[in-house]
Amino acid sequence: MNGSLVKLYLYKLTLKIFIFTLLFITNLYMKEKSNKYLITAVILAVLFHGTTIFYTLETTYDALIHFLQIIMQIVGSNLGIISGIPVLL
Amino acid sequence: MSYPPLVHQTIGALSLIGGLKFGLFTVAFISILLFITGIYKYSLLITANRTVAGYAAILVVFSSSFLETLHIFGQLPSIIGVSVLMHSLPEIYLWLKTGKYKFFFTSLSLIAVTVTSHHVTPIFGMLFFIFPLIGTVIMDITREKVTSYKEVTFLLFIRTFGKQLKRNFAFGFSSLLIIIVCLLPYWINSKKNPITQVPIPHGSRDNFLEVTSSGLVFFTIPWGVLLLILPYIFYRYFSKRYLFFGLSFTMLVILGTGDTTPIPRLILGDAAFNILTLDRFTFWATVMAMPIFGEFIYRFVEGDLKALIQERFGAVYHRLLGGFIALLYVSMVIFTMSLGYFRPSQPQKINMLPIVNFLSQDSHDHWRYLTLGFGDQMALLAAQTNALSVDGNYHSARRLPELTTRPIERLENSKFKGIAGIGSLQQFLTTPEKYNLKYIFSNDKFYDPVLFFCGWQRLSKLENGIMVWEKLNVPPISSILPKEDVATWLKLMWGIIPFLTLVIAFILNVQPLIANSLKTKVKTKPAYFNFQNDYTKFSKTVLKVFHIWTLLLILILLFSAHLFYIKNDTQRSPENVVKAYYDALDIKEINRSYTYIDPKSNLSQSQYLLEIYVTDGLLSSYAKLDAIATEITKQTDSLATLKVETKWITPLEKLSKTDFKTVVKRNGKWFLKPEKKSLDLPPDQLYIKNTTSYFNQGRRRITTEQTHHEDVLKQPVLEIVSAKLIKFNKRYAIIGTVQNIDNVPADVVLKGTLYNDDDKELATYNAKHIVKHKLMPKEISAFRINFEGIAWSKIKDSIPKTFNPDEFTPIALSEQPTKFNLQAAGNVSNSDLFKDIVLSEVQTTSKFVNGTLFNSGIQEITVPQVIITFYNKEKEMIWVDNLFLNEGIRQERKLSFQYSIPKNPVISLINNDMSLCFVNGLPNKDIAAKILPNRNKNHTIERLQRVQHPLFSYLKIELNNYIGNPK
Repeated sequence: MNGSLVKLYLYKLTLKIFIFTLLFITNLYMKEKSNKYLITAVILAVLFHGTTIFYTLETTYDALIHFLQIIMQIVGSNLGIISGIPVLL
Repeated sequence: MSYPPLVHQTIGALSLIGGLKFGLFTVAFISILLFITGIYKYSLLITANRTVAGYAAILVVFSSSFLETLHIFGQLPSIIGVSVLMHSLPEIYLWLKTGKYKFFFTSLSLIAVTVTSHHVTPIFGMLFFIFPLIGTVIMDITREKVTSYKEVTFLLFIRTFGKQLKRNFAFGFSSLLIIIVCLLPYWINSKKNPITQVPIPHGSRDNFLEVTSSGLVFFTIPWGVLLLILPYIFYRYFSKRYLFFGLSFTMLVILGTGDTTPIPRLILGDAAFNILTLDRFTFWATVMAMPIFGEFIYRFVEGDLKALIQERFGAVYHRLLGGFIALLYVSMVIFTMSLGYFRPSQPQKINMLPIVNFLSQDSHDHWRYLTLGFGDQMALLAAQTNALSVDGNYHSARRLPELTTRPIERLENSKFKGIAGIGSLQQFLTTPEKYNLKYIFSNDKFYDPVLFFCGWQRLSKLENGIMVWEKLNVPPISSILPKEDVATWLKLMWGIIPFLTLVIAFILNVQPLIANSLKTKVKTKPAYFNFQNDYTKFSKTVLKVFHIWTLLLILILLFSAHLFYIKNDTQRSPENVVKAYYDALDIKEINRSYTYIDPKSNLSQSQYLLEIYVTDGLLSSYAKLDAIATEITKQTDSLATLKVETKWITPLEKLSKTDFKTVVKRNGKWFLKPEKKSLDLPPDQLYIKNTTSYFNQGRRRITTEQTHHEDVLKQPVLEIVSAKLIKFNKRYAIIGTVQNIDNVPADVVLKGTLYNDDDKELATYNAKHIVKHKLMPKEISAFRINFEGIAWSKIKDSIPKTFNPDEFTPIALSEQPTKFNLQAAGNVSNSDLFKDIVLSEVQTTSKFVNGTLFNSGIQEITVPQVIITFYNKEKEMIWVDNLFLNEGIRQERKLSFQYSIPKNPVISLINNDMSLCFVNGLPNKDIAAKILPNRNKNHTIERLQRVQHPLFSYLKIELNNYIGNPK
């Protein structure tokens, strides 16, 4: 098996472990009286953040001094749509 | 020991199972789960309603502040810290309320985990979460004594407070003890090494109204939809039971607004304000608001608010409003996530293997290295190699004065920190021997000129496209490095306590859960369930306020969007089109910049692109636009001329430029008139040039053994022809001339040291830009050694407030330098020996030196440099200065320059005793006498140019150049 396959396997394994822990934890809460909202929240969180985090976490940056300008450029170039509204008004 | 270690240690421990990334993502998953369940438990505590808490948990999954903190800032320790804190809140409540020791221990165990994962969270968490919680508990106990909240008077409250004092103190002091003990090594370390770092600017400390981008990232995005229901949150938190939460929430909201109002600075004090990043307060405020948000949505979806709206405005309106809020929420999610997606704040992924191999080959790891333009990936390289770097990321932990005295984050991205960043980098590049810094891995072309002019040379491009720069004459790191060791017991504490807190917390908190799930015990309802809220009658006034507030917010949003659009719509006004044009050029969007060019100007796009492509030089290839100001000089309906003043940051110096642009109006849009390019064409089509080339073969066999001394070439002999210590206005400098008197090309390093009368060393620095670092056989170069801030032995005295590489800050010295020592070192070099540049048409006035440079070679010169030496009447040199030209010179073409002579300088000679000048460690006089016994001293001063100036009578011009892309 090459490295990437091992990695893939490991990721899958972790995911499985997580789902089981998840079920376990939610189960603990459920015994009290099932709270479907919390279970939904946890599942949603794992699905949503669990997938997006692989794309975002490694490129995070919290000093944010120099990229603010770039953000403004992105925002600026897309703002025509929003600002169309007051023009219409 | 400068940051609580739990999160990092956990990642490290997990990485033993499946590698570093596995560890990282596992911890990230855990943090997500902890955060969601933490919000649930906290909401349950606040609202005592399981459905509401469930709502809050679902909502927080997509809360924009959580998204931003996790996916854009990546603050894992912060998230884990606050999550565990929220898990501990119910336990604390129960201890204070019931006095059962079980809760005392569970709460403390969770506090311990919080402390070991993030130090700022428990300290401020105490203040903002636990104090109001204590207040709420007292309120609850008081409430139990009477029949309604109306009867809870201040006096009664104080009385209960007195009764509760024992438990509060027990908890307060034990948690204080935990904060101290669990992080004892951290506290000792920060006592020993106080943070001397000058404040590093951070967007969260900006005035959000002035710097709207910071406002967007640190206010609008984290608050998101919560902004809509802000009045409701205040209304709820300022009801009697939650009063203390209300106060703390208000504080957090205000602290999160940075420098918009002076209040946060007043509350925190200048010191704390400048060290803390204030985005965390907004994050905590949004966390604190979650239960109320959940409650609002619950009441809106299935509670009394729904009934009220349906009754007053009808069912359709209720659905529309619901749709509106949901749409806002979803679009906030998409916007926040896409911000992270489009953001180019980190460079592309770099394959580290070639660099790791390079460093491990040939003992390259015996020197320090530096990375440029790597982003956070520098840490990845540091983890894979034995070699040491001078750079570092965590600003609270560093000690080198070169870094702590500058408001920079790290050297690696110094170009984003303006002049201060470049200045700090230049100090490292100029005196690399001090740090044993020999190799630089550059992923950013921007730094090339400064590397070259500081005397570095290119080695080769690695397979991954990273350019390796090398500096000669740098000694390897000594095998024993001074290291501040810490006591073994501290190390043991650091290793054991964090994991121990985790294990204890796990045992204490999970065990009751399991017992509960196995139904070994009958679970009683927690005490806070006695304080349920009444969700049957939603206040009409609050609904009205909500409507007005929403309307107001929408109006503000639309208005600011409109303002923003007017200001940034690129072709609405002459100023806008000029700004947009320069912006597009600055970020190299050449195609976009062409769209601003007058379509009727007969300039085709391909011609335009070609013209841009062939212009090289400091300004067009290595400059970053720093500021732009436009002024309309003439304007009619369809035509305007503007004076455009631009400021640029280049790796070498700060540039300002004044251009005059003409803009025309075509069909309601403004366009720029293109500038005419020089039509100068060299006469010949093909140029041929012979060169003398050098190759350092060495005598080395292919072996893994150490470099033997016979592999190293004999050092070429230099001669310091003249040298003197002078004072120019208020600054000290060593000026002089150096010559390569050997028969091989040499790389020159000049190091000057100043002494006072008592032979006490005052300052040491190297020649930076003002010397030709590469000398051909017999070539001569004038030099000047400036003594910059960091050169002086007492750094505090000499720190310039704002560093400007070409503008020198005078230094107030109690001790006057009177003597100097000059060390010249030559090493054989075979790179950057291009000398085919010629000076012509020199004209001097009392103010300016004008001239033309002609590139007679077959390489394109990227940055030409002119070094000018000034002489007095007796033809003794008294000053050396230089000028970088902003444009490059293509082959067989010319470029004119203008240098302005210093107006009224005060120059005094301090010492011209050359007895302490050394070449390659040998006395200069002896070595020169051996090689060149009969020097004709008139050679160098015979043909000087005359100049009309009160102080200067003659001048000499030397040329140096940097080739960006040698072919």
